[in-house]
Amino acid sequence: MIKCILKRVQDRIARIGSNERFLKTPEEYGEVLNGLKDAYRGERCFILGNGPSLNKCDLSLLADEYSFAVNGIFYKTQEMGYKPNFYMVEDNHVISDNINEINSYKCKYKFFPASYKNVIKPDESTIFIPADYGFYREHHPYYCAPRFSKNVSKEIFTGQSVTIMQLQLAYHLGFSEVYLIGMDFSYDLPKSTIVDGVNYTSQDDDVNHFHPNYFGKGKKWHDPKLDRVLICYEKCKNEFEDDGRIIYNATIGGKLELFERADFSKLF
Amino acid sequence: MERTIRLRLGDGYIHFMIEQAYLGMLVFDKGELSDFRAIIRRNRLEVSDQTLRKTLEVCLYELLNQYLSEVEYLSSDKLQRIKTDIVKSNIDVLDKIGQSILHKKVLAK
Repeated sequence: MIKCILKRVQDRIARIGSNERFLKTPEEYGEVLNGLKDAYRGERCFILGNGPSLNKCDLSLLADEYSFAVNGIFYKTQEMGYKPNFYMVEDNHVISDNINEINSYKCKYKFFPASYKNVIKPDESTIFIPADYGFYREHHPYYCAPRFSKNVSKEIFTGQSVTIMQLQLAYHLGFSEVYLIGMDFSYDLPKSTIVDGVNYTSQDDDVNHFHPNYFGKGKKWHDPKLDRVLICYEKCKNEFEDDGRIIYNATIGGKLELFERADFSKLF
Repeated sequence: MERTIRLRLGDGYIHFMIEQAYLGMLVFDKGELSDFRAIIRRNRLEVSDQTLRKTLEVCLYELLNQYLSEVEYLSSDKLQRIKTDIVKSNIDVLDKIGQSILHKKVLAK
């Protein structure tokens, strides 16, 4: 035990002065995540998608709310100052195309799958989470089978959209009312897009997100496979409802009808 | 306490388990090894009639390494010792599945 503690201290000393000093072991991240379990019990939160309808929402109303956001939300931060409490990226294309913006982004908590430890420069707000990619891996026992983790300190399951991980995280943190906004749930594939299997490369401005540069010219993205996202949403909905919690869709417009609708403007 | 490795052969792949816990899988044609979280750890591993038995052993070491360090939080000497003990005590399991794969000519193109 003493030997183990000494080793940890030695490792920390060796990392002083670099971002490596913020890097923890899987066990330490597990402890941090365990400490956050139900920390926001009974509270409400907002989970932001990045669809064009996000531009119709007055995000200044979220200043005193708990909110989750993902990927290129830094465009909104630059545009009007909005910052989430919880930020997450799952997609490898988003990471590789925006690594500088992601590494320099500041907010209270930044969550990344542990597999990105080699590319993400950790800071004091970074938490690496044990993401399971079985949903994507052909031949895996859970290939395309939705799973939901109620304790993300042990594992968190991917499910075609980073929102699925956000919902598991919101559950872990104890939120009882979740409001989705900016989840337009529809994609147009511009004719100019270069398609290579499930990998797309934009040749023009992005028409599917709130900012034209989001997946703008030269940026890579994945086939969104909304049918698969929907079965994962159903799983999340059931898990929340089984525990007396609820997910509302407060998106202005859009095509996601699985969740009960809520009027964003009447929530404040 | 001895811990049992279980292997399940599918069409072109094999799953590795320790007791009831999932360790990962090897996909034969790509030589792709993914761990218990489906993260790819090795690519283009040589999987042929001649190399099969050795490759299975290498895979088991790699998968145990990920599982024991990330789930059971073992590290350094203890991780090395337990990993080696588990592989050694399950050599016959690897031999048996290796023979089965060769017998069924699963790897034949």
